Amino acid sequence: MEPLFIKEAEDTPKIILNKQENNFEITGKSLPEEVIRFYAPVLNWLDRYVASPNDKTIFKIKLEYVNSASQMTIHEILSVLERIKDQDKDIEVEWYFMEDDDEMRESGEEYSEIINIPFKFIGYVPD
Amino acid sequence: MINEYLAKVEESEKDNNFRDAANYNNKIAYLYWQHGIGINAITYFQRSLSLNEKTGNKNAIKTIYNNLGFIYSEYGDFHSAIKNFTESLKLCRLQKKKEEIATALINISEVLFEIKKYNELNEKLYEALDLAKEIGNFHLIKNCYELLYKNYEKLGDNNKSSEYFDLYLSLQKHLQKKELETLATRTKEAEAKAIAKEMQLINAKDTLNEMLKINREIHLKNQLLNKEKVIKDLALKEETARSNELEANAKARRTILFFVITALTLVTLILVLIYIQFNQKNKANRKLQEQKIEIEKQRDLANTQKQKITDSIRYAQRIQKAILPPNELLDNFLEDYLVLYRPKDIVSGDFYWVTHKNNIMILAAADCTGHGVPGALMSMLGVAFLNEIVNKIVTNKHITSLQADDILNELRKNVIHSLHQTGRREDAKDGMDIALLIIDFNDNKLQFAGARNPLYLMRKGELIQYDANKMSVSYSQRINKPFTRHDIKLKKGDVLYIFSDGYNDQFGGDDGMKFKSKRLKELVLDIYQKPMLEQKEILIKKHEEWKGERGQLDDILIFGLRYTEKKKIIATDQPYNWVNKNILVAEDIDVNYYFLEEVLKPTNAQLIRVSDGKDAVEFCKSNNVDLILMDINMPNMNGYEATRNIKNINSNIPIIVQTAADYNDGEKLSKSAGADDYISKPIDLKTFMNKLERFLG
Repeated sequence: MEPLFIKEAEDTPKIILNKQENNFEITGKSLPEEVIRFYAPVLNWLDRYVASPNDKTIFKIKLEYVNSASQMTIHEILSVLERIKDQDKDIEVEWYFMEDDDEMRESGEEYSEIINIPFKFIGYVPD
Repeated sequence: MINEYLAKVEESEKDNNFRDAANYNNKIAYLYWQHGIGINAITYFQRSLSLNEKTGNKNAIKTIYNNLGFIYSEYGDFHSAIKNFTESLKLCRLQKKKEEIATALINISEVLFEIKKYNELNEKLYEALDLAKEIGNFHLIKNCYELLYKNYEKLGDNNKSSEYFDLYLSLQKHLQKKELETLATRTKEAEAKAIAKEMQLINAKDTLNEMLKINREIHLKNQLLNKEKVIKDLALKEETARSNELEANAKARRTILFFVITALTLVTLILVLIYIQFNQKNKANRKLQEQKIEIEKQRDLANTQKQKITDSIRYAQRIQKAILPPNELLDNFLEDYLVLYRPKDIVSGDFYWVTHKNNIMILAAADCTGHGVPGALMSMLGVAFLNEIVNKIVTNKHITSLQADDILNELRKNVIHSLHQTGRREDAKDGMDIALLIIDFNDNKLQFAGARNPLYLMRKGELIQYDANKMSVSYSQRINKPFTRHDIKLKKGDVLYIFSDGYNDQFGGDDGMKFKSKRLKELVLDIYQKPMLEQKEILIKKHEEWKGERGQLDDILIFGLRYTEKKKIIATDQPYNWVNKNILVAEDIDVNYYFLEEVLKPTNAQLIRVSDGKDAVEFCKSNNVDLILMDINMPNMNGYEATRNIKNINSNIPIIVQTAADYNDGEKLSKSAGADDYISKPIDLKTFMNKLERFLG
């Protein structure tokens, strides 16, 4: 499966989806002008991936800012990842948030309550 | 030089070294030939030839025959020329050297052309052409084409001629093209050669004279051997020398002419190239000019369009501003408040909304997905829905029955329904985050419900945060989960803040970080006791400092208010005054009664409640009643029966029967019971009040 790389831009996050190297991450800020268009390739890729996922998938989300429209899409992404369980494979979300960023931590907690995937919350201090 | 070589020839012949003797004869012959004395060259070439035949040096023989061919050809002795070229050809054929065979054939053909034997030479040329093609020698091919087109021309075959002419021309062009790159250096070389040649030609005469002198000497020697022959030869040679001189001059002229033509051709070629380039450049310039004009046109168009769009958005801004609550409305209720409303673009996805009734104020601060025009569209939807939902409740129910959580639940239903959200990926995901307050100034009560946006309440140096539900007003997996209502007892001096996330999410500071709620909390704790307008200044200043050179990330909205004692509101929306009027309400269900009580409270009417028909009848026997509101389904005695009884006692008391909407014959039954009017439930407040006014006004 061809990996998907999207470079970080001013208002969109860096995205790495690499099945071979078992690396999946979304990093940065997400406030694209057209959310649905931006995330369409990501969702398409994940749709194909969850049909035959790796034995253990660790999905890293390290977002500094997510606008309200992107929040819906993150939910969408997590919903797709939920389907990995149907294949009897492991899936875990690593949710990174800046130590004092209550909004991002809470936002992760919010997702973990409605998405049936184990979440690991990792606070970090910005460098 | 020639004497030297002659001595060497003698020496070599003495030693029977025929090879060297032949070589020196060759050298003498070349010298004569170079200097235009072909006739002598012939003699020495022939000597060399016989010597070479002795040693069997085929290569040398072949070359000499060839040279002899050229010399005879130059002299116009074409038959001898052909004979010699043919000898050379024979040897070439023996050696099977294709290039040389072709060359020899072409040489013969050239001579044949001169003697107008046009019919004979085609055969030779085609053979040469085939060979040249075989070895890929373009120059030989070109020579063949040239002769062929000339020959066909002579033969009168114009088609063939032009066919070969085309071939010749294209091949020549091809070769020229190939040479074009090295043309500059070649031209220089050619120039240098030309100058050298000219110098040679200038010297040629002198040399010629010297040669003639030598010749004479040689021939004087020969005279001893054959006097008669020598005299004859001398005469011949003198004549030849003269013709040689002429020939040399002619050759010089030819050479000059050749270089002039070459130079002219080159100049023409260069001019053509320059012209072509110039033309292309011109074309490119024209194209650029056209593109520039086109770009300018587009730019102007884009500018006009942008202006139009901006104008249109600015107009939209006026509409958006118009639907935001006017300050006077807020001033009626609030002594100290702030609205920090800063759209990222002209129009905003954030909005605040206020309505009020009977000293109860409903206030919302909302943040729609997106900003700018998409956000603004959503905000219009939000305002419209809030108006519809709240006013519907206010009109048809007791205002105190308003619940903050219900409003959000209802709002969510409306948004999902109107945007046709079903949770599919391609559906619109838009919605809004909102904080909604219901402040009851009568009882110092506050309700709060939030979709993602919390409430900060400041009291006695502390910040109390009331969390919002972690879901926005839109489709989500928690669609079936209702919003939560917080009931809070307000105290005088409490300060409340509701806001969108735009202020907290602003990137800035030294590291481009988010402002974050932590900082906002610290900030409001610091300043909440200051007058709200002063706080607004501080909030703006802090935001500007944080933002620095960066752009504003999102729309910003902060609504703050200090709770003070009840402000007397003049109920301008309530024109009825039924002071001193007694209204008897026969109603067994509490909620319905409370509703009527609430509805009628502003009119200052006096309400008396009874819970069944019998009590109603009893009450009317001994009390003054201005109007009776009669429910139908009541214990002991129903409304129709009670109406009939009361009308029997005092037909002057107006009775309005409240029927349930699903009773189609409610009107008929009411009339037959003697009721003055009827109203169907749920009550439309406006109609209801109008009806009452008719009897009480």
